[in-house]
Amino acid sequence: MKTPLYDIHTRLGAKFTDFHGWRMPLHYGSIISEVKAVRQSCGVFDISHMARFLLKGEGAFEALQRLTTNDLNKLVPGKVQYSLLLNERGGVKDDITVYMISPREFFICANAGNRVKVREWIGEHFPIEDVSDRTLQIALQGRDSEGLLSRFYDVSELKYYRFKRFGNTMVSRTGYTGERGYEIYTDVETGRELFKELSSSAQPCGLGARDVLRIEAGFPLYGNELSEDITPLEASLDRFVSFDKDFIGKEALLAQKPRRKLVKLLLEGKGVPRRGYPILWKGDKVGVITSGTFSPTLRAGIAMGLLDVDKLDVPEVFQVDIRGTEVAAKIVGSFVAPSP
Amino acid sequence: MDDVIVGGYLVKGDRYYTKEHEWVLVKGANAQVGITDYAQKMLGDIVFVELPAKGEATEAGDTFVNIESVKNVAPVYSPVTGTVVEVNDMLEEEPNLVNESPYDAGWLAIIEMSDPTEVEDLLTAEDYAELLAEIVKEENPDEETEVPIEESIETIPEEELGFEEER
Repeated sequence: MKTPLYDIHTRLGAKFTDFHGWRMPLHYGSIISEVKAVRQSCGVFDISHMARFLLKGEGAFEALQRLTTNDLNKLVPGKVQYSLLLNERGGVKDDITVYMISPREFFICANAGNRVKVREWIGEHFPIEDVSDRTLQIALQGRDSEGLLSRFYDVSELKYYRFKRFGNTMVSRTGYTGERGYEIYTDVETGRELFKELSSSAQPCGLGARDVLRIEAGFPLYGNELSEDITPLEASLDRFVSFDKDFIGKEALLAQKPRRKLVKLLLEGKGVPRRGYPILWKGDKVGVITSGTFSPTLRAGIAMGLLDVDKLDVPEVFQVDIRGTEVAAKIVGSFVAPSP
Repeated sequence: MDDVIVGGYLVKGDRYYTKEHEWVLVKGANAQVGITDYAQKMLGDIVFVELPAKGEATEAGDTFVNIESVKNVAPVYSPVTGTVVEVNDMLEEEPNLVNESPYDAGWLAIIEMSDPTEVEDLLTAEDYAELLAEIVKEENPDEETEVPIEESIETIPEEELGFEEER
């Protein structure tokens, strides 16, 4: 599949990659330049491959409240919430953002690879409308994004995790980079014009930069840090799980003590940790890398990984086994200071 | 053969190649080895180059260098059998030389060949240009046009040269 912006990406010189059946821009020349643009000024991303749904009517609130881990009572119209859909075993079906349009109308953004699964899962509990094909989703991220986007929409009053509607268009102050930024949902025609305009002022960025930026920001990616076999507690997403309400998967979460926790690792030696590489402590395997990259911002290898819980407070450094070479790594709280 | 551009990628006419996109510049019994313009563009921004030690023996087909880009790690296979007699120390500090100058400043290592006739098993520049044309065609199934391979480098504006790519 291709997004309606495919021809524009081609003209911008994109190198493409396949992502869950979508032919998406990987980069437009240099992932490092794109990451730097977002960290220093701003970058624009086509993320129309993501899945977008609408839930409307009596009972939508109750259905979502039971299906998601975060407490919907924290939402008011115009507010966005990060949340998780769990299976009965407490594993993650998907991580999503929930937009409260009104107390009876919700918009949901889910992962591209989970589109059918989420549609069918929620659909078992409440009628769901898939609006992915008739909408575009564009992310504008970086400190200059407010100034640039203000030429098109008044976003001056928009606070973090809030959204505003402008006719057919919805703009939220959300993102996957750790920088101040926006996500724009709109119809195909408006979206094409907007992307053309934005990409002439902001650096177009592909999925390569998106992945590096989200690892630097410490955000999980479904399929890496999250899966049907990883619970939100193991993924260190405790603050998005409300035990004050009932939800599918709650009992399973309460019944188990996490045996592993997601941590962030900064490499102290040369090398790039990659997904699947073992985390070692005194020669023993005590964990595994779930995502890793070279960080252009820190000029070092960084990673997220699942670590045995009894090693969380070990004072010594760890090693990452990089194809047979042990490279020292330490646990850090964050890689880049978030400035959302 | 003259240098040619195949689908936007430079192929130097003065050396041998492998199917895995390594180049080999033969000087007597010594084989200088690097990766092609196509390979460096496929890898993207290169951040580390793991080189062999001087004096290390290597066999044709062995992984003797690993190149780390932001997204991936790619093995470089030894195109010939012999002993590593020189490595490009510059890459320790400036791994991006492989991106900027894959055929010159971004060379990887020099192997003293135990059997210099081994180069006859490698691809000639013409063979490699043809292979690349096929690959480029497969990667761009939408484009009907034939991939030109006989373009001389002098006719190409500078900004289209791989190693001149702005960073």
